[in-house]
Amino acid sequence: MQQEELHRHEKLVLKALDRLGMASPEEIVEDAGIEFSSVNRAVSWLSLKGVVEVEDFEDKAIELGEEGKVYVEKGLPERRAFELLNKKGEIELKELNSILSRDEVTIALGWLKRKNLAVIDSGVLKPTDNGMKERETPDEELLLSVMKEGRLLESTLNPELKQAAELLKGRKNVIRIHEVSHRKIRLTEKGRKTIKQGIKIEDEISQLTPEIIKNGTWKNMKFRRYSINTPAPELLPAKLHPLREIVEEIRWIFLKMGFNEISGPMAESAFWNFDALFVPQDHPAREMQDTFYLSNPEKTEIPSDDIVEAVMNAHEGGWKTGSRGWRYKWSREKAMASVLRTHTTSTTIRYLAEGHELPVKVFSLGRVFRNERISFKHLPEFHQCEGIVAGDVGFSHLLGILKKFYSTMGFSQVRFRPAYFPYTEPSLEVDVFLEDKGKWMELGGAGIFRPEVTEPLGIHKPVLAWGLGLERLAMLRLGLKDIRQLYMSDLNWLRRVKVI
Amino acid sequence: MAVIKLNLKDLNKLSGFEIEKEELMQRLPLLGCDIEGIDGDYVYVEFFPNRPDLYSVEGVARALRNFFGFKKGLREYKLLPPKTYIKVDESVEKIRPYVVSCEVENVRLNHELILELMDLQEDLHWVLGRDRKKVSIGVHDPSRVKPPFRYTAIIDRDIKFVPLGMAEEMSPVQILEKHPKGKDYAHIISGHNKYPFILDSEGNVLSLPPVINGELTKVSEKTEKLFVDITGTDFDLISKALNILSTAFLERGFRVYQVEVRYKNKTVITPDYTPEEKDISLDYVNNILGLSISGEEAVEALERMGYGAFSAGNSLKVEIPAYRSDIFHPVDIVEDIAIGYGYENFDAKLPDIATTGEEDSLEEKCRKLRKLLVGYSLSEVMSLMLSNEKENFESMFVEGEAVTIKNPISEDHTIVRTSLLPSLLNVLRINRHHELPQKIFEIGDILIPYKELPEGAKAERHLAIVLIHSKAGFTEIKSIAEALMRDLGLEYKVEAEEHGSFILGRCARIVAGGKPAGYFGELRPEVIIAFDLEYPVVAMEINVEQI
Repeated sequence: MQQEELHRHEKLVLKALDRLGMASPEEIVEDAGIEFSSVNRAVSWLSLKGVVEVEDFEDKAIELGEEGKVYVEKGLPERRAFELLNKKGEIELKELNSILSRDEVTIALGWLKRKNLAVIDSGVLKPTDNGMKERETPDEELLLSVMKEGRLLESTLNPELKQAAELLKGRKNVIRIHEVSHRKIRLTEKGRKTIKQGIKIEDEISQLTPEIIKNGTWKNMKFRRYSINTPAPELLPAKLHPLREIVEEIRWIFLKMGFNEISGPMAESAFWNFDALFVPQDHPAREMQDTFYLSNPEKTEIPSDDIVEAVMNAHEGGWKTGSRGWRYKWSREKAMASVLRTHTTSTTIRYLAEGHELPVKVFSLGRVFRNERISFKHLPEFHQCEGIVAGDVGFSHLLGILKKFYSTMGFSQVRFRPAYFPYTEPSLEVDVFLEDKGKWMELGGAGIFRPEVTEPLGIHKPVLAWGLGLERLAMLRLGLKDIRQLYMSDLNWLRRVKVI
Repeated sequence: MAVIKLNLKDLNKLSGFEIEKEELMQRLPLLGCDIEGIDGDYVYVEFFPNRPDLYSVEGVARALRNFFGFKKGLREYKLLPPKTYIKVDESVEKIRPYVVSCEVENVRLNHELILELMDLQEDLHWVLGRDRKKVSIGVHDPSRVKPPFRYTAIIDRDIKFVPLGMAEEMSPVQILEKHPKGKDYAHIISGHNKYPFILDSEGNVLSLPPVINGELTKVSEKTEKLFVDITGTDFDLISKALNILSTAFLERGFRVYQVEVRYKNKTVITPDYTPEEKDISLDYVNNILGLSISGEEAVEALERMGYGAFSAGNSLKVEIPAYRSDIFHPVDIVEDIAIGYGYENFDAKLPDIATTGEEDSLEEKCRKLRKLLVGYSLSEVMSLMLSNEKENFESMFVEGEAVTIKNPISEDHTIVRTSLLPSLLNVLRINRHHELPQKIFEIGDILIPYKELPEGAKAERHLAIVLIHSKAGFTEIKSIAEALMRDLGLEYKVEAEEHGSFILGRCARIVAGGKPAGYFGELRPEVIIAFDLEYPVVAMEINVEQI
């Protein structure tokens, strides 16, 4: 072991051990003259370096209890009784009441007898021969040394005192015993060799200071070598929320792929959320157990124009789309109901209705709401993104875009399965392959908007659309089992979560 | 959505060919379904609501036979001519106008089949019938009734019968008030003084549609014949339900007899399996799918999906199976061509549309703001927009009007927040046992009722900051507010503001470019306590669109 590899404190500890042989950290503190924490740190490094050996012992520490403190001051009740007895030769029991409380009298009599210091003979207390000889019993000796030392380790007691400790343990609140572990440190062979090579303790520079730089002392002093593996304090900086990182990543992918970002209202009419998407007015998704309806505002205004009329006709009989329609009486009233949007498709549809020139490539990302009870799996609001491409495109392009989109997100293997959504035909679900789990997971839906959706908006070319929920992706990335964690904003978690 | 329990042994027997379980598990999703679970010889499969013809093991067997190419094309079923009729009385016209029917013989049932039949009925009630409103099905053992039958409406005091699951005769009103099924479905037929009934020639009750059948015609394992009535509000829809149900019987080898339904002005014979024919052009198909398949390939794909199909040049003649209820438009046939062709066989390609992507300007601003705020050592949090009156108003000692939910799911979520500060204070509450100081921000949306907009509500993008620690004070939040204004290059003024959530004299308004943008200051102890906090809190909230 080279000198340079040893910290100043480590050297001091080695020197102390050289003098002390096997020693406890407390003994080293005293000998080496450095702080307890420094000794401990030095010892653990020395032991890592194989220079010292540390042995931990389980032991019992003896301390004074509440009664014990009183006894040390005034003497044990039996001692006080015996002293009176000793002064008077013999006494009547009731005389004890003058120096002891009623409880102490009972205790004193019990122990006088047990220790064979005195006997009771028809109401009179007399000392025994043993009692006359005995000056201090071992239990009293033990109490005194515990008081002096603060605490004593059981392993350091002689057999007589050990027995005394057993006796005192039986007395209420006199001593307290608890388990402790303490350690002994000794040099290893390597340690002894290192010492033999000679240990020189010299002044070293630890913290470089402006003074040292200015006054030039650094030229003649050694820099202490730091243990680079010493743990440094944890830095917990401010960060963006991990879900935000995902939101930004998805936006970035869309932007890179040439999509324009659009936004739309969250408090929405049933018309744009459902009717314009050819979702019939008696569809289960429109029911109260799935959708949040609003009481303020209870109603929205919907335009009295060609689009609304065309949508109505498409529902009732297919309009001129070539569809047979849902064949029921469409209600304007129901379409005016005010809801919290259940998907970002309402935004896409509004955009398509604005009559932009084709081709169109846009996306929107935002919060959507479903009437779901909060659980580890569900929240009543979450983030959804949706992209559309309208123009001279077909189903195979949709698959191509999806492959690109998902591979940019890091899913190299995707597969497509038939699916059903009321407003797309053909429809599909996207499964991505999770390499680490070795299984497929559903992550998004897609399709081509039905003619009953697009024709009333004046769009006569295919519109490809796809979307996915971001929380599911976030949970996958962050390894979360409970979706609620994303919105609990536990700062301990947020400060430590990996940036993905 | 309907989850169907498929008995694999039964499925193999019905389809007429052996399918390995593994292959089935792999290929079934490509037909359009989600596999929910496997339990020995049973597979639980969720089919989509557009395909009620797959809601039975018989229907799935038929589809697989086609899809796997074992026997392709339109399935021909043998229907036997009517032996009896149902006379439809005008009295049902305003209540539940339509009925269709069939008789089934050579019936062999066991406990499992009866349960499957009941499941199919319930799934059809739900998916096609919208919980029996549009379609309801009665399946009867007709051995104790006497054809022909009548479908008529009768006033309460004129009729009584023993409904399923009861021991005593009840009148329709009693059933609607007391019988569990009666209570569930009363709303569909109440509001008239008469009630619809299917009766036999002697006036015995088969059913009170759409509520309940009579005990008299209860189906059991001993049943050898069936009589089916399907009533509803849409003739086409009940016909589809009958086609789905009766072809399932035929798949199982039962014999199906048609029934004459005699309406006032016309007589129809049901079921009717005549396929609807549609002509579509191959160009149309290729255009939507982005393919260039030939007529033969399109026919092959259609036959795998159970269609009859013929191609001539650019034209495809398609025969739609009578049990398909989901073909609204030629595009629905195109999807089936895509499925028959196989989604896995498409050549996925990127379209030739060169565009440049542009950020929404508000989103761009918020992205930059977040970067700044993290630089100020503020941690971003995200919270729910749904809130409640107590948190949003009362705890903040302010009043106001919020967008309110008509059907909230819990007391915690009855309104949409009108301010971000309560959300952030709630985050502090959640973190109250964690180390201080805590310095957080959120940039998010709030909603306020706003009559000038057609939607009646307006979203605003807000930015809010809260700081909590033992020495949090006005100066600290003022420094942040001013740093933000400076970093955004804004001319601003700070003016005194009175706000219910803040200590009087320790709240300021930020006026940026002449317009009030928001406020900041020290929160009142009452607010701090309302959020179960014990340390000083300073806060700021501004409208991002005003800066």
